[in-house]
Amino acid sequence: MSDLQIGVSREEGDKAVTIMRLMGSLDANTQSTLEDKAREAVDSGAKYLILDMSGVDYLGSAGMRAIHAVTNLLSPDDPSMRSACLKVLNPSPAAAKVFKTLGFDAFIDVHDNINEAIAAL
Amino acid sequence: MSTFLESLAPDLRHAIEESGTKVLFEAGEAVFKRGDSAEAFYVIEEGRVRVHDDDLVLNNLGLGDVFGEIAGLGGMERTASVTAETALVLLRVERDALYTALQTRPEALKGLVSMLCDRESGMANRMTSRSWRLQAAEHELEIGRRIQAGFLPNTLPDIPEYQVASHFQAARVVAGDFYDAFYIPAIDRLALVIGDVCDKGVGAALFMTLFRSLIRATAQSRDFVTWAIDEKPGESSASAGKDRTVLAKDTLTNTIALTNNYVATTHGSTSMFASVFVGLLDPETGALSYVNAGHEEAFILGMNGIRLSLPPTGPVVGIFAGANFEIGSAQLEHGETLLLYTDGVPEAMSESGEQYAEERLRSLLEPWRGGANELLQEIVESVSEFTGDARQHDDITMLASRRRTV
Repeated sequence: MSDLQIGVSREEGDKAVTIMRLMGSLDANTQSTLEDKAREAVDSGAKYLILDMSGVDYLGSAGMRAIHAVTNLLSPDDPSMRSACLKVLNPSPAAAKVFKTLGFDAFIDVHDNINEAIAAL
Repeated sequence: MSTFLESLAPDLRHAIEESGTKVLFEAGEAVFKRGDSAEAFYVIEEGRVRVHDDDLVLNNLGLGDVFGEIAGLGGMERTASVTAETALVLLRVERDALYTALQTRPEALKGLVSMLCDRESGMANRMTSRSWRLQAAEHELEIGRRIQAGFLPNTLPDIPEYQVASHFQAARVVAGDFYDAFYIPAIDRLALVIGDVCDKGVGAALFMTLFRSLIRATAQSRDFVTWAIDEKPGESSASAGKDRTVLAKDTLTNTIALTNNYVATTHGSTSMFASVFVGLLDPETGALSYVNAGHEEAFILGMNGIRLSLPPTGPVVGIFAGANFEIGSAQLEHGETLLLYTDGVPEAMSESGEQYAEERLRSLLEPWRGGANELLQEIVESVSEFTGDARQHDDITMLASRRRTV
């Protein structure tokens, strides 16, 4: 059974940004781990989220579903803002390819530098 | 309902009360954990507990209930964990203390044997009832599988210019993959569709039926509408005199936009999407118009292997409302085969966890000269040899269409 660990930290700048560091596999078995953790963060006031994917060794389409579900959590009432509140950081080449193939790269920004990712929010 | 102690023979009850000691727990505290060694059982005098195995809650118990008696009396390992839901007052009865108390009370010993028999029989009844419920759920799932099978084509289109073959192998009882192949008289095109709904299981299966139906209904809408106004399919006055290549492209645009926008605006909150390839082939000329919505590359196989790869022309369908999908064009020459497949092929896993990978598929296809059926069979055999006895973790679906040689 695949496993996913998520470390959460906050960056207090112009905007309070919640950073989730994902370690492991983001797939059908672990998608609810990400959704639950994001729901917890949103419930306690998080509005901007960065998903640090550098520790993700497998990203499946169910994992992409979870990422979209997180954008839904961040701005449920404003579809146009969905991807503006979430940035993805440092996916592996394989994960970046999944983003591109599934066309998510046109709707969710992918960054390789955390300061850039924060500035883009 | 009487409490555990009230249900016992008086001698046994006295023996238990005598040998027990009161212990307190705070809410959230573990009374014991699965795998702990056991030398006592507990009777709840105040509060509630949860019997669980990690996140799976097996039972909730309250005032007067007993727990841990089987392992406690037998000296075995705890088979489940028990955690205080509220502040607790428990009567903790140690095995050794109880046995000492029982030595002077032979009647109580009988009572203990009878109590354990009662509980054993109760447990057996609960197991039987669980097993019935499980069987009922399996039966429902089997009905679901049969109904879902009706959402795949019964037969493949029989048109002289093409040989069409398919392969469908679900990883679970119900599947998220689908394929479709049908002829559209109104625009004189052979439609070839393959799709993969994200995620697995029943949720993916429900969405599979939605995506497949929307795609097929929209692609065939000209025919369906002309039937309703008493014209025969293919004799639509609406399409008469129009360039069929333009009509085919319009049909593709309508099909993918309607499906995408319908699902995204109606079911967007579920975040369920599908990667889809929809191709429309001109039977006469071999001209192919297609949309690849976030799907694996499709291949056109010529005499020397893969002549052309058809990468995505837009994002996945169902979550990005208003998304743009480009229409791709390609040509299928005589003797060439269009191969569509889902990621279950390249991501098929061996027993050691290695993926079959696109490279293996590509090298298998070079060179390729056979028919569509043989092609799919060869891929199935190669994947199956690679995966060995490993459990199939994703649906494997393929659709191939070979344009006959002249």
